[in-house]
Amino acid sequence: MSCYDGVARIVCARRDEHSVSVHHGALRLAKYPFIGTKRPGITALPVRFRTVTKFSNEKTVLEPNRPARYNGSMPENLPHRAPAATPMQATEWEGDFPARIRQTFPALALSFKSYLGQNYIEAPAAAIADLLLYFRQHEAFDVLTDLTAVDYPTRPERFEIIYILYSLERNERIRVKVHAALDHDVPTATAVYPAANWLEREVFDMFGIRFSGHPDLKRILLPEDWQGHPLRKELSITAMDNEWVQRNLGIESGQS
Amino acid sequence: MRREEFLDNEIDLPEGNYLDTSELVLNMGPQHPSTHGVLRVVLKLDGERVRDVECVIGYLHRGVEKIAENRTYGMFVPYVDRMDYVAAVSNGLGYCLAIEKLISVQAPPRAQAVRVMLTELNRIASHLLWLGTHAIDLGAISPLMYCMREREEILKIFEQYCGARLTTHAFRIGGLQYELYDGFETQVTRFLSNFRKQVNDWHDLLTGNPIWAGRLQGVGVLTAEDCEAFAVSGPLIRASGVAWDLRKAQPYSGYEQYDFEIPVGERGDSFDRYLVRMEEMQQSAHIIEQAVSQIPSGAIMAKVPKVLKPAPGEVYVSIEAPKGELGYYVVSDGSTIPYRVRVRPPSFLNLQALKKMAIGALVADVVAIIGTIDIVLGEVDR
Repeated sequence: MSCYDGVARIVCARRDEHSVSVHHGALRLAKYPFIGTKRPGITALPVRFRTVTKFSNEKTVLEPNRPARYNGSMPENLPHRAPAATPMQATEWEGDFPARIRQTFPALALSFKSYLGQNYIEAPAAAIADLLLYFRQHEAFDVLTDLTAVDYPTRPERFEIIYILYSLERNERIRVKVHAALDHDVPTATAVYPAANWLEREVFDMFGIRFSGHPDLKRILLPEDWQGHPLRKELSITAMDNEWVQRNLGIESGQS
Repeated sequence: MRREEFLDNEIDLPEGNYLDTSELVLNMGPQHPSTHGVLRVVLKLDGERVRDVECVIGYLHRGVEKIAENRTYGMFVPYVDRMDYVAAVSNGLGYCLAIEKLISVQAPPRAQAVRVMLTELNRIASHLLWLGTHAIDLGAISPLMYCMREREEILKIFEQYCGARLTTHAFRIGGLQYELYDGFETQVTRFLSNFRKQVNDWHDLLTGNPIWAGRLQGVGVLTAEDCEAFAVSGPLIRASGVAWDLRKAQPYSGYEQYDFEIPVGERGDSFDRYLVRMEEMQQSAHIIEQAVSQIPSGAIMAKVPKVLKPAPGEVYVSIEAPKGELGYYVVSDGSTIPYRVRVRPPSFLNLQALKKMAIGALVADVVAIIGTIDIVLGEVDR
């Protein structure tokens, strides 16, 4: 096996080396092949590196034991800005429906808002399962179109979880929003809407929000050994990229 | 043994019998040609019958939603083409409509007509790819050749219009970048007249074919209630007898001006889904014929500020993509970069219903069912 290292010099790697990568003019040899991370039971990849400028058997380890990046603090270079100066200019949602729901759930602090003709309800997280059950059984909202979340790290209850409901019968769409703090669970909606199963798994995967009572809450899109929840605002793409490359490949990622 | 009998009866044999069956876990994919990409399905089998199904997805995850939070509104438009890459035009339309709703702008009538034509052409192209690959999964080789030949004509139209065949980036926020090229109308009309004859030929080739019917009829049945519970949309819910199409239910981009029908199935099995998609291609052709004969004149771009700064707020806008309801939930914080873009992918939720459809089916039927869901893993994983 031979490789062109960028300085017009052919360097012969040993036969027993599996992977070769050229980075910033220096040739680095991987002792073991790169393998996928989807295999169960493997938490860290057994990849070790050494730098070779000439053919030699000397072993050097690049920066071992780097500290973990995911400590929950906010890095300086976030692409995300201070919270919006003016909040959303939503108007009150008047009508039969809000009055009916208020009458049915007098103990709950519900607010009914409307923005650009789209209606939404803000509700306490603990009551979400009851509310959804009522909407499905008595208000004909038979489809949970989508379930997602938004992260507002500066708020005391930083996560906003959004349930988008649709009624085939009335051809009407509403959103139900609840708020959750970092370490608070949200009751699952899987008993009411089976569609929530994968959607809640995705929200858990991306934000780390736990849904209590979910039958199989585990990562869905990312590998099981992935660290961190990438759609949280404190994680930037470059930080995650650097961290992954350094942890698994032992080199600088080259991205800034 | 029929599927219902199988589900009711537990196998009851004395212990230690040489006929004892044991559960076999079979891993299908992620590098399996009939999973249409990198889908891994873990099957628990009892003989030839499927006891349990688990989908393992995420092999194609690129973090599209995170990328959106690092790009301006306009910069993100090409990225959405990479989700459902066989229906890139629909992805772009949905995103542009969502941002237009957020900034309260409507595309001019000419732009809307062009959008409808290109989106419907893309729907035909997507269904053609589905039909060809679905047929080849079930052992019918020749439909793929016919489908690819017709799809090529559509891709040529895209290429002449915007220079790209697959990931088109055809639309911009507020309208279109490019005018129609000379000869667009004649090329589209010529394609359609040929295409409608071709679809009838494929009906002769497949619909009456006893092998085709035997592989699809009664396989992967979803009732209307199942579809609602699992938020299944698109041709799957229509095949189950629910006449729900967002182009009719909540018209966008001027769909209310066109005359077309929603094909609906009766039994909700794979064969009905096949028939629904075949008829949808005819209806799409009908829409394009109407649109191409009366393209309004005028501007193709609405007045949109060069630097987009939507007021703080959030919208959910969805369209009827070829696979089902494609929705965008966009949150703005008043800056030039979206605070959050959530994509509601139709394939993701349709794939979730695979478990419901496949339990009790034969292993070979799982291939037919995956084909009939019409998944694109770029969209499932995003």
